[in-house]
Amino acid sequence: MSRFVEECRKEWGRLGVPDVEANEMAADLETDLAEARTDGVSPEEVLGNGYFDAKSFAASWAIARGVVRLTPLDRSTIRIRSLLLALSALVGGVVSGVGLLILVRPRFGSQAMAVSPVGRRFNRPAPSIVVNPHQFLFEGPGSGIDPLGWTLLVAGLIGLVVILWIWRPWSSYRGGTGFDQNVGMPSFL
Amino acid sequence: MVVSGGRRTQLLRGVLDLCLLAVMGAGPAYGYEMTKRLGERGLSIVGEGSIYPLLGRLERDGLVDTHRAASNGGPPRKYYQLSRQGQRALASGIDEWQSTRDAVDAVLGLAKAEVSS
Repeated sequence: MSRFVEECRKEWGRLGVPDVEANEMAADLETDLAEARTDGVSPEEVLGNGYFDAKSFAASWAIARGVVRLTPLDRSTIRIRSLLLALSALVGGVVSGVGLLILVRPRFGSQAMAVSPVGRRFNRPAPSIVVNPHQFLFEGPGSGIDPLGWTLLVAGLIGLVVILWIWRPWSSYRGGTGFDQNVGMPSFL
Repeated sequence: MVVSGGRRTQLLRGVLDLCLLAVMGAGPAYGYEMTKRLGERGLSIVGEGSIYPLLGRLERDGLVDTHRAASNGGPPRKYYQLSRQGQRALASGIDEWQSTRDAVDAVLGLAKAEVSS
């Protein structure tokens, strides 16, 4: 079995395509590619762009034939994963938003020192913090806590990028294959 | 502005199923055989989409009937042939294509004459 057909088999297995259907498609593909090879015809001439993306090709073919079966467990898993990803995205957005707010906040540093004269100061490199019994106030013209703002902003944005990175390939397994099942062509074209 | 390669792809998207039905009109054929028939008539799918998902859709929609049979002593192949519904779809698709082509020809033919004059 050629590597391309093997990859298709794996994808059909993952999509829950019944063995009978998967075997039939694999056999048809294998014999067609073998005949093309004998004729000196390249696989690309037989499979078009599908040759360069076995997973999408296999998924679009199986979906077009109506042989993809999502079990109730799959649907439940999809719902849970969607929820977790959405929550993670929300947290990432909030964290980066807080970071942004810290960076663009009005600078009241000198006033903070004025309203907390009895506060106990911890001398740390940065940010230094003035503490009183009722409130925490950041000291200085604001630059002292910029690292915190930057950290939150960058961490939040990195989180969002990671979530997007996880989402993209995973979302393609939910039926959207990146391949136009109706015409057998990449849907981005 | 769609580049020429992209335009060809877009045009094919709308008519490749019709072309498959048309080559099946010459008799039952398996997947690769249809690719060959398309090629013999000047239509290459290199750089375009695959016909296999299309065949799957045509089968699901009842436009083609299928059966398995050995080909030239080789392993059994899946043969596709036009169903009654497929014949009707082909006939109406050809009409649609020809009327669309005539209209586009009229517009582009006029534009070509203006450009060259």
